[in-house]
Amino acid sequence: MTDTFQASWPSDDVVSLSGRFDASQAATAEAVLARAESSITVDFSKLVYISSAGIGTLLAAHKRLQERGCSLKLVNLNDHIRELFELAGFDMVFEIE
Amino acid sequence: MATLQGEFPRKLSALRGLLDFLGSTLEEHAVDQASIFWTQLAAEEIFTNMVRHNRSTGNRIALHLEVSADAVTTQLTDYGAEAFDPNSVPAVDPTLTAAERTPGGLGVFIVRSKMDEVDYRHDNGNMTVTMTKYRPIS
Repeated sequence: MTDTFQASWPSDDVVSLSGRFDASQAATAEAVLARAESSITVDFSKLVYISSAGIGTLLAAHKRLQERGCSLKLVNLNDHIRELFELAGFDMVFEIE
Repeated sequence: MATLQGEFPRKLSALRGLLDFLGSTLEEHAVDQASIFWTQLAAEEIFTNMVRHNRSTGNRIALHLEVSADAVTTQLTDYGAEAFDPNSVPAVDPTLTAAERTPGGLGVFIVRSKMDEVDYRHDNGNMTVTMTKYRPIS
């Protein structure tokens, strides 16, 4: 089964990630997240997998928005992805719901 | 015990094939979803390090996978590679703020944290990383 990665803007302040976010998809996600100019919510409800490269991409977007006084919130993480974020303390870096 | 082998091109675009192979093979052997997730993740982190840090060769990267009732063992071999010392990678500090963080070292940290056994070996110019994830007792 191929979990094709996709990143999209379903509304003005929500980015939806779906499929498998591996290191080969970082540039795709960076291009989508680069459009964010104010606070955004990143919806993980259709995301099945993310690696350190994906976390790094989100961290870079988060830092950029913080410098503008904006925020990046992550929602609907599955259990494995939530555990991964907690493992390295990224649950304290990102606002996660 | 099932033993499977494969070779993957030395480029990040090969990750899809690597992760698909691991996912479908482990599902066929009724491995639990958590073990599949962490095995795929650890394999990606090591494969990505091999692609990024060894640019002196175009050799393919070999995968050797063993699935038993007790464990999943994933071995990746980078032919013609310099030795890599994982202890040279600084530990990730989970207490750092966003501003203080860099992505570096996170992959090695994940592998160390979620695999039950990890062995790094450099023999005859080849770097082999072997990672074992114990399957939950059913």
